Amino acid sequence: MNRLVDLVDAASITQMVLRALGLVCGGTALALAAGTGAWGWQWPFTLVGAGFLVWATARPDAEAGLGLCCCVVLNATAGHPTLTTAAVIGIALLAAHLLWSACAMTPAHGSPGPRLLGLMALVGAGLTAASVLVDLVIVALPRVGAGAGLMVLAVAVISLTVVAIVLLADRTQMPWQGRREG
Amino acid sequence: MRPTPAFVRALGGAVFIGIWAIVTRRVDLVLIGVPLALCAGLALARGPRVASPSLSTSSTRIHEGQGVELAVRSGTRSVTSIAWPATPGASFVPQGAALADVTAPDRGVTITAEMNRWGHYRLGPAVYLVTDILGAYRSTGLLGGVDVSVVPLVEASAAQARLRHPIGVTGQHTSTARGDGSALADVRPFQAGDRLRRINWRVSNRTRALHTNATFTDRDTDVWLVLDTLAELRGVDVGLDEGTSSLDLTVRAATSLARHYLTAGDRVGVHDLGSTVGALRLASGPRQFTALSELFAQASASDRLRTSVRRIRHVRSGSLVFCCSPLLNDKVIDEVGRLVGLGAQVVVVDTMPPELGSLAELPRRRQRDELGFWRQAWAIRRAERDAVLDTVAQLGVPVVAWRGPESLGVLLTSMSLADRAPRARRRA
Repeated sequence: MNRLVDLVDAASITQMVLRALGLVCGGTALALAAGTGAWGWQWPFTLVGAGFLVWATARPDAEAGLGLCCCVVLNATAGHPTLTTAAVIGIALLAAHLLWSACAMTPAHGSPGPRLLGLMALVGAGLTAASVLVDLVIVALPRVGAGAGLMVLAVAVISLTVVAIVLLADRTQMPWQGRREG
Repeated sequence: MRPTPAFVRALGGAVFIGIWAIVTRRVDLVLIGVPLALCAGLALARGPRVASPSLSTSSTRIHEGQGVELAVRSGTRSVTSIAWPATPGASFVPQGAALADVTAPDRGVTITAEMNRWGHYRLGPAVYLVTDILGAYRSTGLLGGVDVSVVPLVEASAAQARLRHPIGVTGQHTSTARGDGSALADVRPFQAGDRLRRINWRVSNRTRALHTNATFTDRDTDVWLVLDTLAELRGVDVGLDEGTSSLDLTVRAATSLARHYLTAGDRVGVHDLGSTVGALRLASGPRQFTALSELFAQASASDRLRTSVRRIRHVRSGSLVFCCSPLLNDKVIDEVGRLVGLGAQVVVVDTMPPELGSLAELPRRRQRDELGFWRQAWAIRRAERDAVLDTVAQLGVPVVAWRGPESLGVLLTSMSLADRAPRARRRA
């Protein structure tokens, strides 16, 4: 409780907004996972996950979010989410993860600059698009009769392509690449 | 350079979900873990690419009210967050002096520190945190502090006052001695050796005898700025960094007076009664003003109350002495009397903050004051001091409250009036 009171006193408005959005995204993932099965099996994981969620909101620069991921997956295991729901849960977890990362990058009483917010949005959008692409491949390949080996190979190729594109795009902005003056 | 909890979270989450999905043979669990796995994979592929940041400042010597830009850049494109510690007298933009943004060798995180008060400031050391774009690796540390000198504002005036006894040979002050000058002293009959251009033709025509204009000589003088820095006084309900203190008024008045008399070609020196600012020998010219500005820019006011007074040892008779003081210390009042006794033309510049002890600040009847009886106490102290000021004025020492640049004109006028005013006779 003291930690939360300190947080309200010290954190800037932007920090509070980022943390609130993280809380919403993490809560969405937890709620979606909890709503797919019998409540009798899921309530312990939901309660523990909610605890981790509050902890992660108060201390974004901590590994508390890992506990939330575990609770969400255990909840989903107890239930039977559709593939679309599962993909949405994964993206919600990613959003919460990125928001907590942005909070951890910023001093508690400071705020992230507009360039940082823009870049974080870009990274989030890129990762979401790549995730959707990979999800589609994972869902589509078994339906066209591909075996497990081919599926793993396709996912690996797509993942490596995404990583390579991001790395190449980033490398062009490295200082030693030599930006031509004039 | 070390992995962040965010990286542990993404990698740990992806590994746990992946293993759990294989164990349970569930495709939906794989979909939950894909975004985190991509994030962790990207961070692993990029590796730690964080360089130590460097600090640069726009200037280390500014005037009151100006700001210093503190820019932090990093060698590679990364996210840098910086937090400066609070510094008394400095205000930061953005507030809180903390900011995080994308930095590169040609682009940095810039925080502006605005100094509202003269003196020497030590900003920092600042805490920095550099992370890569995904927040997977980071490096933290301290950035060395920055020394900033703030020169007090100069309030110039073109007013001029006549000195009682200028002691130099040449200059701009009209003396009482006759000789070459510009101020008319008398019209007298022509004598052998008088310059022809001094002949007053109108009077000569009227009187049918040659008459010439006699003038007073123009001379310079020694100007001493005596600063009372024994204590720093502020309004009762004014915070440490707010408002104008007696020391601020003292320094601003001294700077304006120095500028005025150095421009007129006089020799100006500084004597500090409280050893807070420091002393400066008599000298003239723009170089002396630079030295004086440097003296004030390097000073750092402290809340330490000083009790011993450093007396002026040598003052030539006829020197002009400006004593900038709130006149609350008996030793300072004694020093003013001693200077008058030594033959100096003394002017007291009252640097007591106007809001301190003001009757207008007193709480109304039945109105509860959170500060207790401090306001009433200071009102009584100001009333006592006013009686002392009257006594000082009766000795022929003008007392002028410093309220900004317009005070210089009032002060110079008071000097001229005080010369002609009746004064109390000094008894042995």
